[in-house]
Amino acid sequence: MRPLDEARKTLGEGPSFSRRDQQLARLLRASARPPSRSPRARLALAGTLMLLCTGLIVGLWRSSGAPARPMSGMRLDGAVTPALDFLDGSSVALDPSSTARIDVVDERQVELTIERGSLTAHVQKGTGRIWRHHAGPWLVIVRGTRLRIGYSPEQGQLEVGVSEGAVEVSGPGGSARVEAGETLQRRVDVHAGPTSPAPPRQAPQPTELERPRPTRHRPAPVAVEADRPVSWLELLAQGHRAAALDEAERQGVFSRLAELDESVLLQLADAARLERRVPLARALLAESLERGQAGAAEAAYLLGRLDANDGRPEAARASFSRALSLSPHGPFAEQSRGRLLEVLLELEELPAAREAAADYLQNHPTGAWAGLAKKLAGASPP
Amino acid sequence: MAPVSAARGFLQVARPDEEAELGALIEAVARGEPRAISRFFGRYQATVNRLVWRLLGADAAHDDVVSVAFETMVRRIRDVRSPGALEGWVRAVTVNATRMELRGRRWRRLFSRSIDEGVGLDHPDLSVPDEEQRERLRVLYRALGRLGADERQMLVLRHLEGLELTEVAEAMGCSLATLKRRLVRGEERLATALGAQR
Repeated sequence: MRPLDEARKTLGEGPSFSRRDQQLARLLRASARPPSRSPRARLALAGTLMLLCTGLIVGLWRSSGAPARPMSGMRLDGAVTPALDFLDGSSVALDPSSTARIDVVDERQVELTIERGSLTAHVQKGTGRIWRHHAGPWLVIVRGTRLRIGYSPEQGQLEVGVSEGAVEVSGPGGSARVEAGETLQRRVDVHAGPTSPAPPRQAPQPTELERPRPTRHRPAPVAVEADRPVSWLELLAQGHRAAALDEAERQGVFSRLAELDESVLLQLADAARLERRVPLARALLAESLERGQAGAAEAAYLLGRLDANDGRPEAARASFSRALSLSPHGPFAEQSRGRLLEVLLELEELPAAREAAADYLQNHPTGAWAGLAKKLAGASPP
Repeated sequence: MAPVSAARGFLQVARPDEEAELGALIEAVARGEPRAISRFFGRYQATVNRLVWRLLGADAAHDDVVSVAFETMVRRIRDVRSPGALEGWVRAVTVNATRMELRGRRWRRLFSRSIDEGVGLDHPDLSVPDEEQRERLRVLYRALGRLGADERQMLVLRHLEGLELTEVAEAMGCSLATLKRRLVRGEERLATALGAQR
């Protein structure tokens, strides 16, 4: 069935990883709800369902399937949900008496609020996501690191310890960059301020206990936010891809690629790819690939996707192979192996395709391309 | 020799270490342990997402259907007869969840004036830049929409997902003979529906 074969290639294998994280969060939230088992509750449910039926019948043909709601407001309790693993390899683990809330999970960002206690976060590098941890009046911004954050609302105290990478902390006490091996403590006098929770603008004067290194004390971002023009980075973080690209172009950012942080580079490349600005996406990905840092495998994979879409299977083959050589077991390994398989078939290079199929099955026996790989490798089905 | 376990009449083979690992995972999910649920999701999310994506055609309802499927799995994971049967069971639950959505769509189409009602291809993550390819997809999913939910699922599982006949039969909960008969009929009806659009 040729149309179905073609559909396999063009449809792809499903939604983005960030959307899958939202699915997981939704599942964990649903599974944390206690099931209602009492007969009275069931009777009430049946009555409600009957009442709803009329509305559903009327509304059924009018609705065409609402788009998925963005995930928000998932509560984490260290005693109940000690850890949450994200599909991009990031994870958050809470101490038993700690509580937190995940406010936003989307393509570009994860925002969580530490209500009290401590959490340890491992934020995977090169995913293009920015993690914002709110703890009372403080904000900790992370792009790829391992860190531990402790917050006590009663004592008005924050402690940030970084074991890998670097984070930016802002709020009372000014902004500071905390690097691997350093610990930053900040405190506000909780008795001097208004009744809790104290809004950041009215936060009392901070007492800084320890600074990791001398830092220039800038005003906290919250204090200047209202009058500040929105930068292309913020537009990008908010998901306004086209506007962010236009603004970055206007500021000449694309002629100074070497100055950009790798995670920002990949975010811009992704935005350009999704906005169909292919030459720009290629230039950004090529820069990331050339740097050979953590995001290079992702850059090679995305270049391969662009090549395959542009009908350049030879170039796509080289890009997917490069992605695999850079990171044979990374988050893009399965997709690179699967796409490589498709490209080799398109090139009608059957011996190489069979070899790639065997490699695919060895690494991803139940993966998206396993059916195709089994056929190619000649393996008998279970 | 690897242990052999029965699932819906079909033989599944699992490595002993894998079987023990899956058994522990099933037990932990049944107890409602968040970390186990998270691991279970991580293990099967690619399969479930891909199946729903292809069965519905990158539909806006995709994430809701995936959520329903996983919530059902977590609730009913003790129904799995043996760890070796878990993967087939995951597919079967996913196919069931998708079937409900497809049947709902047929009703919606009855009352809709748009020929593209319920065709799908409206998920925000779908990226098909080439307009001709996109049109061909639309034609295909319009034609699939004219088939019954079961026939459509059989065709997609077999030809788009590339499953073996035994795997399709297991996911659909029917015998191999029934599957073969309905696949032939489905292929003919799909060819007719595609021809009618040209």
